[in-house]
Amino acid sequence: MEIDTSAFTEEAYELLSELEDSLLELEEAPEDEDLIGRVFRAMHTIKGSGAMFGFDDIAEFTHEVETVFDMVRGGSIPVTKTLIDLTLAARDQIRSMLDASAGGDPPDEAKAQTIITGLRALVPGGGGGGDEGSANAQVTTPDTQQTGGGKADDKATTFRITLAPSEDIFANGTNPVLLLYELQDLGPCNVVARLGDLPHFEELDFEKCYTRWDIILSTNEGENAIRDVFIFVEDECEIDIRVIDDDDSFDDETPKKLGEILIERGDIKPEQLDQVLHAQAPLGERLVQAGVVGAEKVKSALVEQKVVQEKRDNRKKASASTSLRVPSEKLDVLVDLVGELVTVQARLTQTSISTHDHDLQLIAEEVERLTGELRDNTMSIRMLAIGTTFNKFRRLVRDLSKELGKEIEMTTAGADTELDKTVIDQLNDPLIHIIRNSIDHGVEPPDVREAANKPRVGKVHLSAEHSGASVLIKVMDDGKGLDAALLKRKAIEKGQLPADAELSDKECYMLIFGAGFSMAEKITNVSGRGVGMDVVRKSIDALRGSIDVQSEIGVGTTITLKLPLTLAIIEGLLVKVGDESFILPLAAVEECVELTRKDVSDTHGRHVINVRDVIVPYIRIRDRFEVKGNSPEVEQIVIAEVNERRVGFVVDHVIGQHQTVIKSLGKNFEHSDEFSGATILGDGSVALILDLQRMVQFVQVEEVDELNAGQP
Amino acid sequence: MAKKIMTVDDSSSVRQMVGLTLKGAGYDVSEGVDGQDALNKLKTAQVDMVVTDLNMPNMDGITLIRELRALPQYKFTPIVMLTTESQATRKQEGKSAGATGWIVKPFKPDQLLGVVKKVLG
Amino acid sequence: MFNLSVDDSGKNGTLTLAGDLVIQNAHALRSSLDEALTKVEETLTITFEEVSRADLSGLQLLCAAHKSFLNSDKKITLEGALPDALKEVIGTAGFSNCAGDGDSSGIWTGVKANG
Repeated sequence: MEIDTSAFTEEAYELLSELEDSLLELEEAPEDEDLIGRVFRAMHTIKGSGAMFGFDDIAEFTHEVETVFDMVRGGSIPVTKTLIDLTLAARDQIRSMLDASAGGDPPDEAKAQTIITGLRALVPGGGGGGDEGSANAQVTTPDTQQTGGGKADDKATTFRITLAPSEDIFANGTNPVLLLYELQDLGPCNVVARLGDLPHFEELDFEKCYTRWDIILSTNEGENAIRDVFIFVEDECEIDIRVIDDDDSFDDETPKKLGEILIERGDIKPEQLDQVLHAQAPLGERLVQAGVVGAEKVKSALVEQKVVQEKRDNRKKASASTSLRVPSEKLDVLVDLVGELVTVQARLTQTSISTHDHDLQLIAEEVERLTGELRDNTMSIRMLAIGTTFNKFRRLVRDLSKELGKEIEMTTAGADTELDKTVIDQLNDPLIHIIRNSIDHGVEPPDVREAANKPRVGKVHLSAEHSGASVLIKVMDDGKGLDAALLKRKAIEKGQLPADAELSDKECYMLIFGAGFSMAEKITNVSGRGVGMDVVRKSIDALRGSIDVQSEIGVGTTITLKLPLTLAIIEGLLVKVGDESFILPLAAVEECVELTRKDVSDTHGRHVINVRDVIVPYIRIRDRFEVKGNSPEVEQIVIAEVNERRVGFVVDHVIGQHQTVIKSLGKNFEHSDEFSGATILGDGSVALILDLQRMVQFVQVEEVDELNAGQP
Repeated sequence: MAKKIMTVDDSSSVRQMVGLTLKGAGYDVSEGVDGQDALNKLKTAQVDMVVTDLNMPNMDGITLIRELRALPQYKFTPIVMLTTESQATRKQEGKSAGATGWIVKPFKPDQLLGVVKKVLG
Repeated sequence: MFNLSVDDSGKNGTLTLAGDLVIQNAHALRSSLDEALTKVEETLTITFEEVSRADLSGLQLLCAAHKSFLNSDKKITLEGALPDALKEVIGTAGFSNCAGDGDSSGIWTGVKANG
């Protein structure tokens, strides 16, 4: 598997279809600079990102087309039918190169060559492809000389630039000569250094800049491009830029050009131009008023303009229909709305049942079905394949293993497994930490591996798979495995565990996720500072996920992250304590049992209950949140699995299953770690969603430890 | 010999993005996770350019720039800061601390390389 | 990096420059030029063949030294070829005629490109 190139191919296909439109429009309006610019930019982008993603053939080929269009842009090559034909052919060629990269037929090399030859023939001076870029400054005369690889032609504007850097300009790392190189890239340049301020040798401070420059530059770029060169130093230099020759002043373009130029020079802002332009009557009206042209003719011209515009718009729409890019905020709003709809639907169902109106109930059922489908569809829009995330780690694995002198091969499975976008975004960092850990502490150096009869090259395997309403993400390595006893000893040494603590192997493994826990004997660049793995735990908790570690000494370690498919809606169990409603995530709930006053007195006030001969500790929600009122004679215990332990939560009544649309609690509840959110119930009241893991963590300190101590 | 650039950012994804882009262009890239980490590393290993974030734990970017400028070996080294659009005043602060230039986040690989070429040559 | 040799008469000296004529090395360059200015009585010959690059700080120093020599009625001549990188920076930075402001000729005046 290669690096993920879909981002590039997707963009390239989009650009190519735009390019086709632009070229066809250009054929009709060969003078349209805007269109020429668009063609050029499309080629430029394809070339640039093609090279970044390793599509060297595409980059190389596109470069040829781009070069020609740069000259078209500069006005030295006219737009002709031949040019359009060749460029369209080039566009098709790039497309077939893209198709080939995705497993299609190989592109026709001969055809590519024909296109390039054809394009080169359009370049004035005949067939030359390429040397205009070389910038060999030659010291041929004692006078000034022209340098520069940039292009300029008859239509170029000539500027006089005076540049006087402050004396201290070296002190912030600026090398002024680089600015002059950059100016050369804009066009032919005459540079004269003015050294009148240069002190005598004895007084010269070599850390200061005494040189000023007079520069004459001819360029097709605007003044903005020149200003851009000085962007970092404009406060530390006196810069004066003046146009001293401008051949590019066509009368028919004058009004618009003036505005553009004024904006380019920073004399006016685009908003100001707009304001002034809007204050005036439209051009057509002014023309009519001036008696230059009849109202009929203006109207006709406007109609033509409108038709062309509509045609273009339609074409754009048609080409965009296969896939649609939407800002993710819009999706967030959609999810919110669907959430509200689900809430209202629950209310409708509830109400319809209480009315005993059969017809209404039928409608309510239908709405329920549609809402369910709408919800699933909306959620699926937010789903992204995890493959892109996986691929980001290839480079990480490669670089880290190189840095640590290890040889590691990374493999992946289930790259097309889809997860909620938010979950994917928040998975990046935890996965980096886990992979780093595997590479640093898990996989052994090649010689150690060989000595242990293992293949020299270690493996890190990333996989993703669906499991019910969750996704399992695994990071597997075939390294030395975790040593439970050693982990425990380290934790005791650091005072993170009491010396006599009894832990299962699994519990020992989980120690690596403790804050400040580090196994590294020496601190490496990669890991060992004891930060990182606790971050993993926090991030996964925040995603309402869980972590599982399996390991065998000498064989390897597998860390499994279990994550919910979506963050927006969960199946919950609605319970009541006094007047308050709470939601427990249904996925964690195992069973409900009764708790009588007798059960409580039998355990002498300790918060445990015997469920089929297993002692289960419980948390009283009423006490925990200081809910007013007395508990009923018979309470309910919801038994849930939290961190692989059975824990009970005592409530007054269990109401039943509830589609829970999660709303964030907002700032007021920022510190309420024991809630993961809130939801709105069918009757409009609010229920808090309990974060069971957090609740257990909180209570553990106070009660469960005490309990452990009391048990044999 | 490839020129050496250090990228300093507490966000690993930014470091990764900067790192990949610069490595792709043939530079030798090292990483610092915050100002203090970068300063420690830079004291022992000379680089030709530093690209640093501004908001970081332990030591922020402005302080890092100041500390580096105080070291003789980094007196004239190009240092580019990563800013966000809203940080106009911080840009100024960075410049007076001795930054050579800035890149506004988010940026594209091309823009980054443009700035590197601009200040490093 | 920079090596100055002066003949027994003290009249003529040769300064061999090498490596980077950049601000990081400007202190050393200045010392060498200063030493040459003091010791050489008539003609200083500078060779740039081993120079790999130069920056503005280096160009300014050389220019100032050249002026200083001229003011004390001494001469600087260049020997050997100028490396391409050096020629390029001289051209780009507009130092081809570094006197710039006056009638005296610059240090690079008369230096031609190869061929």
